[in-house]
Amino acid sequence: MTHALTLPQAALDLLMPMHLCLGDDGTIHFAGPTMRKLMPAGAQVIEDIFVEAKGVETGCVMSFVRAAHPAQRLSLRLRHHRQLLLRGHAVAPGFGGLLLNFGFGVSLSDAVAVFGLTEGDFAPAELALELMFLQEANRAIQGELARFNRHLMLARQDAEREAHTDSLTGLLNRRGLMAAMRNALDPRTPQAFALAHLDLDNFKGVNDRLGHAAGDRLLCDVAQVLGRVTRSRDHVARIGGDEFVLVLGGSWSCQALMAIGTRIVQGIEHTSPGGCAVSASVGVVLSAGYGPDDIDQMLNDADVVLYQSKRAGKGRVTVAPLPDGGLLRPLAAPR
Amino acid sequence: MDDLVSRAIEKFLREEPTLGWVEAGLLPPGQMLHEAALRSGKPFDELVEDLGAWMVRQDEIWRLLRFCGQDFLDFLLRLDELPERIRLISDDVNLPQIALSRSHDGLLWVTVSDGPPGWTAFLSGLLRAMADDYGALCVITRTADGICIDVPDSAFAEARTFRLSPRASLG
Repeated sequence: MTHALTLPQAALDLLMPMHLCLGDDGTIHFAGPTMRKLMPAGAQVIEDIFVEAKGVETGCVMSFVRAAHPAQRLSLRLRHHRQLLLRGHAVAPGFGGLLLNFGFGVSLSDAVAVFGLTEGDFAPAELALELMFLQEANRAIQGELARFNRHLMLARQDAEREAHTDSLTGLLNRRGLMAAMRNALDPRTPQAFALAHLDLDNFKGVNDRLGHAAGDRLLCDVAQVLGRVTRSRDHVARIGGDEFVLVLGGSWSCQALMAIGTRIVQGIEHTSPGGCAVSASVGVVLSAGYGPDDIDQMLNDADVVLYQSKRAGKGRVTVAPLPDGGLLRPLAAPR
Repeated sequence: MDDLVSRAIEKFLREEPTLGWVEAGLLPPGQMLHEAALRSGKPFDELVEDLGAWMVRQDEIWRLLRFCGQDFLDFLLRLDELPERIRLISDDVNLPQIALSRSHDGLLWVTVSDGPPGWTAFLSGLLRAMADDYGALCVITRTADGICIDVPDSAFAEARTFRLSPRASLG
């Protein structure tokens, strides 16, 4: 059994505020209150409101609508706001012509913004407001999560930097040095470098005679000297009380390394507190022949060369010859 | 979601200079509030009520709340939807049951069950601020039995303008 309904237009407006009633030729008979907000002033036929959503526009929306099966979804774009895609369907109301009803689908928030729609423009059964609520909630939460992520990333970067930094001098610590060496010895991006191991001479005297604060100050001054002598892409680390290591990128001649080492020794002697005669002994090895697993070996070798300098009378620079070279030659730093 | 709640509480405590700063992440949200109450000497329920009112002043939260009702009465009558609404956004929040009833003398009652202490105070602070926002002149009283709201029918002032689209004011 079927029922034939007779509805006053006001009831239709309430139930379906987006309806559109058309004559067979596409003439607009009447429309729901929300639909009227979307219609350009003076709209006479359906083509004044809509264009076809897909494919080539034939310019005759009405024949497209008529061709659609009643159960089939109609997709139409607003002629003057083509980003807005409306969806709906059409039924034959029984008095000739067609009755269409529409919804905004995913164009909802754009349509609300463009036409300034309010809660009253939607039938209570529609989920329009819930959709907008969700969209805003989602955006707010995503913003908050992005903030969390940024915060975590910065905290991680800070922690990483701190883990690699010597807090007294701001130079790298042993962990930071290892990372720098690992990076330089990486077989995928091998970079030649010289590793200079430096140990202060007579540093204990500063601590003993002037106190630990003066000792700390001197270590900071030494860090400054090392910073001045090196370039920004070199690495400088303090790996123990008064032990420093420099990673100097590039291929070096023995003479060049001697000159750099000498400048460092002179710079450090210059910062020595009066009467303490602080100087430095330096041992240098070149990276040629070392692989990524030889970090400890390389540091060890530099240490051995450093002690050549110490034994030869402190305040000296020794450069280890290349693996096929002769003996280590400790040289006094020229004054 | 717990992180978001903690963060909101942290922000609230930071903006209320008398309450002192309790950092998020160290204590669970409820404990943060107890700690702040202890430090400031403010009764816990009063502090939580302030938190409820403060939430309404946060623009993003305010907008979400205004989606929940056309006017204050509508908002009130749909208050029991609130837990479901929040579950739409995130399902890892523990929310109490909110029930509405009307007593013989025409007063509306909001009662909270199955929730941690403080929810009634939180809601009453939030409701007071929302009534103000909607321009509804009503008396909201927190009692041991729940929140009692006296809404005289015609007592409405101008509501704060709310547009469905956050972009509507631009175009």
